[in-house]
Amino acid sequence: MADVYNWQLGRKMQYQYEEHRPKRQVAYVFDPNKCIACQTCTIACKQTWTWGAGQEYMLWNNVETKPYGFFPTGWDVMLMALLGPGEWQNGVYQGKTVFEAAPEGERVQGWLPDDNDWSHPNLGEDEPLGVAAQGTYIADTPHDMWFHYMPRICNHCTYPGCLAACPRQAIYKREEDGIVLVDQERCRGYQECTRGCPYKKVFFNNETRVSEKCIACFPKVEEGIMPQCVTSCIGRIRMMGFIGGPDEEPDPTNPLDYMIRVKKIALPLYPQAGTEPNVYYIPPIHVDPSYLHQLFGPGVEQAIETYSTTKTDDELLGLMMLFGCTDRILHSFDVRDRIAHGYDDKGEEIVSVPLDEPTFIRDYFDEVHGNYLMNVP
Amino acid sequence: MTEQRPDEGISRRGFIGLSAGVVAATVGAGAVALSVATEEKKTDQLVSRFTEGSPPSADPDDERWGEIPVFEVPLTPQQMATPMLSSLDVPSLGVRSLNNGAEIAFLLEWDDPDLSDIDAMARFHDAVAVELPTTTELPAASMGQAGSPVHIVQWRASWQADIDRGRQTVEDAFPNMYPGVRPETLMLPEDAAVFYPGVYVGNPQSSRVRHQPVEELTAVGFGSLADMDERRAVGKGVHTGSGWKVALGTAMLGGQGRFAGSPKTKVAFAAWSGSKDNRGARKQWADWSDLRIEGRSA
Repeated sequence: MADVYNWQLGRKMQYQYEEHRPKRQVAYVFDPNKCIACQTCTIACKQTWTWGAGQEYMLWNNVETKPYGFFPTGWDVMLMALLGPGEWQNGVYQGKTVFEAAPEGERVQGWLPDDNDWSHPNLGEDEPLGVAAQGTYIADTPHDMWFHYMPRICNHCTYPGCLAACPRQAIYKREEDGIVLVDQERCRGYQECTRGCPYKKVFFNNETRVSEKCIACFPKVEEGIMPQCVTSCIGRIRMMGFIGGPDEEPDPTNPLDYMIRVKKIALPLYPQAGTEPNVYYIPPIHVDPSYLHQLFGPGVEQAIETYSTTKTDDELLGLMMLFGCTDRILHSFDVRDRIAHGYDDKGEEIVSVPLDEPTFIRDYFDEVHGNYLMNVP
Repeated sequence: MTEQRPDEGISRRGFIGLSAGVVAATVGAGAVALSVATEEKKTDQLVSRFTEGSPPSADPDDERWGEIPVFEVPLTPQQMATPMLSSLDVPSLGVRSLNNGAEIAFLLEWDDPDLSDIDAMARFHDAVAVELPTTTELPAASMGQAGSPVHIVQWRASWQADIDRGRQTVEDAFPNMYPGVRPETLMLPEDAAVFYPGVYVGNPQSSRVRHQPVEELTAVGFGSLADMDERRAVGKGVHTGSGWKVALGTAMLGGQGRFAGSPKTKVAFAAWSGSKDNRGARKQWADWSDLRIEGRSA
C-alpha cells in the first residue's frame, strides 16, 4: 500500500498503487436539480454500448431515485454499512476509506451483488421520504418530504476501487485522459472489480464471461465530443470536460474547474469511499442537508448557497446556459455582455449563448382574427 | 426374545429412534463393505507411472487409473497474496499420474457435492490446476517467478459444460430471463462480433468454440497468468454427485515456458469451489510435491 493524496478527503490515504495522475482527467458535472429521470441518457448509453447478449442487465448509465432507489439494490446502503461512521472535521475526513477499511486478505472493502440485486433497476422510483398529510403545501426549501434523481455513471476515479481490486492489473487508467477501462484481453472474469467498486459500475458480461464498464465514450472524447449520456440529455443537466489536479491552480476559464474548484457548486458522490470520483453533482436544493452531507460530504450548504445566486452571477449563469448547447467538449469559456462563449482546446469559439432570450409579448387579443391569444414563454 | 410393544417400556418416539438406528447400522455395514471392496491404494510418493500409448489425459474413467495408488495432497487456503481465501473449502486432492515419455496425465479427485459449472454474475465455477516447473532451479510454487516461469494446466467445470452441453450462454445461466435480441440475428456475424468485446479481442474466456475444458497457461508471479501460444493440454471432468473426477494432461515438450519432464521433478496443485465463491487467487493450493516420472524401463 502507498500513501497518496486525496484532495476530496483533505488528507493522504492508503492505496494499492503509488499516486500517479494522468496528463488530464476527464470529469463531469451533473445537476440533479434539473434532472427529470426521463432516462434518455440511460437509453442512449444502452443503445450505443450494451445491447448485446450477456449485457441485458448492464446500465453503465442509470438514473435512480434517492433515497429509496438503487441499482444494484442497496449499493450505497451497503457501502455505508461497510465503511461505518466517519466524521468530517474542518474539511478533513476522519473515517476510513474502502482501501483503509479492507480486512486482512482483501485489497478493498467491498461486496459482490448477485443477480437478484441487479434485477430491480426501477426500485424506489419516485418514492419520497416522508408522508404528505392532507393539505400539505410545500412552500420553501429544503422540503419536509422529498426525493431526488441521481443520474449515475462510472466516476473514472483517480483512485479506482475496481483497479485496486483486480489482482491481474486488467483495469487501467488512461494516461491521456484518466478514463478507466477494463482490458478485454486480460480480464479473466474474477469479478473482483465489481466487488471492489463502491459505486458498482463494473459489470460481468454473462455471455463473454469478462467484465465491462462505462468507457466514457472514449472514441467520441478522442474526437473532442462529449459522451452519449451528456449529448443526449434533454434536460441539459450534464457537462463533461477536464479537471485540473490538486497541485495545479484552479483555472477559472475551465468550465469544470470553475464549477468544482472555484465556485465549488459541484461535489463528489460519496467522497468518503476514497476513490476521488470525477463525476460531480450540484446538490439538489430541496433535499434535507443531513442526507446530502452523507452523499456529498462537507460543502453542501456552500454549494447550495452559491448555486442559488446563479441568476445574479453572469459568469455562473453563462456557464449554466452552456450546458447542453454543444456536443463539443468545452475547454474554456467566458461571459461578455451577457453572452456566454465556449471554446475548444485551441481557443476557437464553438458556441455562444445569450443570457437573455429574446422575447416578444403579443397583445392578448388578436384584432385581425378577432380571437384571444395565450403567450407562452 | 419377548416382543416389545410401544406401550411396554418403550415410547413411540424411542421405538422410531431404535428402528432408525437399526436401519443406519445396516446401511453402515453395507457402506463399510462397499468401502472395503473399492478401497483405493494410497501412496506417500507421487509417481507418474509409464504407460504404453497415449496416457488417458481426457478419460477419468480409463481403467489404467484404477491400477495405480492415490497420492493424497492436503490443500491450504491461498493466503500469500491478496485477495486471499479465508476458509478451506477443498481440503485435499487425490492425485494419480501416468505418462508415456512424451505426454503426462493426471487424475485429480476431490469432494464437492455442489456442482458449479456456470459463469455468471456472482457465480463461479469449480476448477482444478496442475502446476509444473520449467527450469532446473525450482521457482516459487506461488505462480512462479521472473526468469523461472511455471507451466499450468487448469481444468474448469464451466468449460466442461461448454463441451458437454454446448457453449453455455446467458440463456443457460438465466433460463427464466427474457433475453435481448442477439446482434447476430440482425447483421452478419463479422459485424455482430464487435458487440461481444471479449470474443472480438480473442479472450479465451469468451471463446464461442470450446475444444477442450482446459486452459494451458504460463506465469512468472502473482497476477501474471497468461495463455500459452501453443496449447497441447487436454482434459475431461465428470461430477460423481459427491465430487469431481478430472483427468488432464499435456505434452512434455520443454522450451518456451513449458514443462520438459525429468525423472525427478516437482508438481503443485490448486483447486476452486465455485459454490464457495472461489475464483482467481481465492483458491486452495499445495506447495511443490515430489514427482517421479517413470520411464519405459522402470
